[in-house]
Amino acid sequence: MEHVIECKNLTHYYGDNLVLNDLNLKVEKGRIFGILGKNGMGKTTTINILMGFLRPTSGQCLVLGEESHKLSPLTRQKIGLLHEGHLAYDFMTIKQVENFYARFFPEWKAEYYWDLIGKLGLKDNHKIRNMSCGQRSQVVLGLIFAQDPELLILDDYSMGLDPGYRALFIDYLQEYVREKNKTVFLTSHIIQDVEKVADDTIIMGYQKLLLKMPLTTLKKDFHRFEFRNANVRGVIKADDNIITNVEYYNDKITLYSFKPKADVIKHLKTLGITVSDLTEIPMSLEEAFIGLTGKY
Amino acid sequence: MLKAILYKEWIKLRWAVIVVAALTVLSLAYTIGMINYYVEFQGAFSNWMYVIGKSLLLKNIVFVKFLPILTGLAFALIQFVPEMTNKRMRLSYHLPISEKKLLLSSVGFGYMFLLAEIIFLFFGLWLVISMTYPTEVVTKVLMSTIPWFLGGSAMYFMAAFIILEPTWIYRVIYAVVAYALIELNFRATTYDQYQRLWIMVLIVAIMPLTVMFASHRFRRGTK
Repeated sequence: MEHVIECKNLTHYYGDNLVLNDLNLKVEKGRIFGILGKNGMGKTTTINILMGFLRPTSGQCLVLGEESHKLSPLTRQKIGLLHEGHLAYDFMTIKQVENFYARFFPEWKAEYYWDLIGKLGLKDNHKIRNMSCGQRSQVVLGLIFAQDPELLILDDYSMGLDPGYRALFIDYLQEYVREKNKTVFLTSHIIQDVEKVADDTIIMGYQKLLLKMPLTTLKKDFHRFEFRNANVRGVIKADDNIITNVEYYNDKITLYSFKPKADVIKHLKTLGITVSDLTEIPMSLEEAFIGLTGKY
Repeated sequence: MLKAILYKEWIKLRWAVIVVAALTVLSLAYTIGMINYYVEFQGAFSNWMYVIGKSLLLKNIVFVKFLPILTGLAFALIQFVPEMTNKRMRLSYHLPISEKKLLLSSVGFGYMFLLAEIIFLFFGLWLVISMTYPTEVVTKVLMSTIPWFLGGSAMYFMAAFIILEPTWIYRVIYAVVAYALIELNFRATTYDQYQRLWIMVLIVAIMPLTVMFASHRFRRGTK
């Protein structure tokens, strides 16, 4: 399978502080990847490396076959970047910014841009500086669509957007990506949005990749079980191949596992715990994310 | 693509260019007025004593003296502060054009306007002074203004370099170096004080390349 992004043994330090440790990651063509991680887990560092604005301490990150920190202009032409905060040339007007970008991209599709801009009901000479964050997000998305890139890297696209603009953004993105078979690598703090749009999820833990798998597989294979027993506090440990995470709250014990219920019961028995009330509780992606990474 | 870069820089600079053009004309008009005042009210002897003997002309064309340096600073601020605010320079560095072309064309375009102002001032002064004074005086005054123009050019390139640098500590270091280099050009109080102008010309000529170093540091993610 063709890989649009390939990171090999990626390691990065800020001074003495290790942020990424031997990260390996492959992103297949034509899929939407949602990258999730708690604050400080190296999500922004990974995105900055992918965008070519940070040189990793060691390891290699290939984007469309070239090292991300020295992409050729031709390869940059094939990558659409959405920077955190919907960065745009705010000293330009709606018309000027389109004029400017159109000259860099031979496959420029102005109709995508003007279609999105038309929804805003603003004049062509409206300065980007005077727009709300939501309006600016439409300008930035329109410019990326018009560029017609192979790969879209969207860094925290939901930041500063109200629910209406977030929904609009997602709707347009989904339609565009499905229709044109693009690869998308996105981050967002709104996990429900990622759940709505992504095919695959990448979850980052402390200095490492916790998992990368299709969202459907995660939802199908990752389970949450609950039972009550006041006497087993501390007996069940996480990361023992069966139990991914465990939470204790008074006599309520919550277990997270990639194994089915029968295997978990069997495992508990080996620990000397007999449970009759082990109940599987369905999870949203957000709950699964917390289950994997922990609440703290 | 180059046209697009120039288009972007023009959008930022256009109002500043108009203001600077107006100030340039005004400063020449002030110089004409000042020369007329010396001639009409001070008389020939005083003119000889002060304008020629005491370099009074040089001391009184203060607008011409500081206009290029202020223009250089203003152009650099107008062009590059919006690019560095919120790390907007990332947008430019992701454009499908080589960084060298991107930066040198941006800096080159800004400098083109500064140079136009300098040339206009230089020939304007030549015209204005030569209407009243002999060639020897004109030459002395014009030669004495060259360091100011070099100082203006140095200010533009160094300010661009400092703004494009990603860290504050390096900015402060560069600013100290820039001050030392630029201040050298404004020390003279009498005619004929600069004998080795070519050294400063050489320094100014290599200054545009400094922006490449700032860009390299930005791309490495230096914090």
